[in-house]
Amino acid sequence: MTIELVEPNAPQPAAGPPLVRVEGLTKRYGRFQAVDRISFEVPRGSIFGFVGPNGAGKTTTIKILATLLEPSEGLAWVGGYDVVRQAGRVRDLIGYMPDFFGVYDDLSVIEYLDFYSRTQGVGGPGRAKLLDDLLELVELNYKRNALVETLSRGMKQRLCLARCLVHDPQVLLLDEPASGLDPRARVEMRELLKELQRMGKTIIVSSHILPELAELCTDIGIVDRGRFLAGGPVEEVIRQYGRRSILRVRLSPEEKDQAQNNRNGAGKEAAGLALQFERAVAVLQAQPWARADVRPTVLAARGEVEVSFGGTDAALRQTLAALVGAGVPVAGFGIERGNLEDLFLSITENRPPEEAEDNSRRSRKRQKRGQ
Amino acid sequence: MRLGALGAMLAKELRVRMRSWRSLLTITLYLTALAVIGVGTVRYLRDQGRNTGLEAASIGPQVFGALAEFQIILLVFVAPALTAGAIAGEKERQTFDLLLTTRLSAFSIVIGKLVMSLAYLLLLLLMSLPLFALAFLFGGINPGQLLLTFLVMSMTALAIGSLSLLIGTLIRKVQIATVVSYVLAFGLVLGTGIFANILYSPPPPASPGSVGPAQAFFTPPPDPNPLAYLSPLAALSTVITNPFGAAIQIPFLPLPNGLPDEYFNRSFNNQAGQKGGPIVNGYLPGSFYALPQIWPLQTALYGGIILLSLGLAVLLVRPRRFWPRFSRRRRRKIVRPV
Repeated sequence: MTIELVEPNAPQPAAGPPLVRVEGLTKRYGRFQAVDRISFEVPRGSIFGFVGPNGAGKTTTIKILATLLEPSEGLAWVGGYDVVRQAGRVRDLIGYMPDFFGVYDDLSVIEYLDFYSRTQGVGGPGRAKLLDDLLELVELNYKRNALVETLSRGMKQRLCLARCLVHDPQVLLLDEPASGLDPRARVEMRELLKELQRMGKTIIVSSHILPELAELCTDIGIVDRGRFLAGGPVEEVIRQYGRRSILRVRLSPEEKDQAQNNRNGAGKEAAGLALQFERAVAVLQAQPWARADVRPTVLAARGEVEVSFGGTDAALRQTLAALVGAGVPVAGFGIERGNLEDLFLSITENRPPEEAEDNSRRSRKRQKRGQ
Repeated sequence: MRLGALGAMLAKELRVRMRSWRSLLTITLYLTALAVIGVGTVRYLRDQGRNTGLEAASIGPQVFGALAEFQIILLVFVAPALTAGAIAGEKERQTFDLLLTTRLSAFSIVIGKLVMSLAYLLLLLLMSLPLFALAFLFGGINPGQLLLTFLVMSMTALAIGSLSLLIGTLIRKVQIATVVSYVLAFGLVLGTGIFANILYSPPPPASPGSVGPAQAFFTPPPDPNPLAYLSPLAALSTVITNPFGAAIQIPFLPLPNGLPDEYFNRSFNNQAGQKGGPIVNGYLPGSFYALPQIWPLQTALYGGIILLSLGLAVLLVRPRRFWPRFSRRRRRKIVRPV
């Protein structure tokens, strides 16, 4: 399955200093290193996907950003405030949704939100309106008087998201927000997050399910065994680390038909087509983005030439112009983007499996202890 | 703002608590138990056949004492159950992290939890007041004694509540936290009296002949073992006295309060320094000196327990706040990412 990574009309993060900055963050539990010198930045207004297998250190990092854990080493800032020394200020800026969370079963939906809005110091006559708006946003208005315990898992997740928003935080820290949700609820959650980004929130969302993030994120960070392996804007990371996109050039069908006829004897035309292929290959190899070690592949039966491509859209335009300029009969010109899964596998492929196993077992233990 | 947040916690907890049928059941059972004790004591004393005017005046304090003693015992049963789960329950339900990321300070959370748990206990205490009025039918108890009794009871409830809350922050499992809290509560309320009794060593008897009966009569009772100063039962015994100023032994369930016998039925020592039999059915006019009071030290000690427990609980709610300077120094050792 190939997933188109960036929608053409996806909102782009606003420029400005990063809202979240992490530098050399390390967290140890005894001898076990849960997070190992992680550094990254999250631009304002972006959706930052924190990707990694179970036990990679995502939850620990998010908990540190949420001021719930203190790092063993390193620093982290949210909105310019140190998460350890200025935890109170940071708490005002963040809305945190843990991977596992409980609700007060005996409260109704509206009482639940009312309680958390009061704990966040949101008061005054505007509160009722705010809570109504939040319920509207997460589409739980029709459940406002239902007891929280009667809600489905998806509804509870949305309610928890509404809870995160009561004090209008700038940053949302969402730890596996879609875990345990059915496909429909996942889609709803994704749409909700996009809506929140449009509202100007910066969102850090962790997941081990890649397709979930693929459609959503503007930036990603890939972690494994506590280490930060790659990060930045999605396209850039893919360009840098991922399996490169595949550029396919299809020569004109006439030429292809001819080629098939020629296979039955007419050597002259065959040579002509081969020449076209050669010309196309030569043009492709001459492009500035071409790599010397990767030769374009000629798929004569399909009339196609394909090559691994790692350039920008401008480079793509230039390549097409060069092909046409060289007289190559281009009938089709397309790009197949690498997806996040390929990227993730290629980045983490050198991981020794037994260590990975060990790591996730420890992480499970840690989760049991609730750390 | 902080008050608003505390108010939010209190409103939420009371709302949740009063919505469950268990709370109503607890109130009903609690008051029923107290009523059985109160009425039972009256009937027991009546059946003793002490119907003289003198005896009637001593029924009031005895009924009052019985109720107070049982109230303390019931507090021991109720308070740990209410408070041990207050924070441990949030942790077990995985709602605690959500609370910690709000504007609530650790102090607000701990105090809020204590206040809301004890608000329910206070409700129980208030609801029991009409039962205590039973004692006033017989007289012999003054408002000062009533106030002091409720002071001792409140401090006991607060101390048990704070200790249980602390245990709840240390132990994540509600069940284990509750069991440990019960052990501590029973130790504090009953264990102190039991051990004070066991460890009590009476002062050496005066040499025969040197202390006459009259002299013994004017001598204050010996100091109890220091552990007795931790026993709320001992404190109550010196607050609720019979009309002659002697401490009251609850008639049919003498709980260990760690006080020497001399506090109760004061008796003459005979010539050999051995105790003689009690006179006037155990009620010896004792108003020649005031009974040494246990409650001031007991309430002060319980105040200490409360402050210490709450202080520790506040620190433990956010454990990393323990050594700010130390951790700041450590954080400077940043290893730059490679």
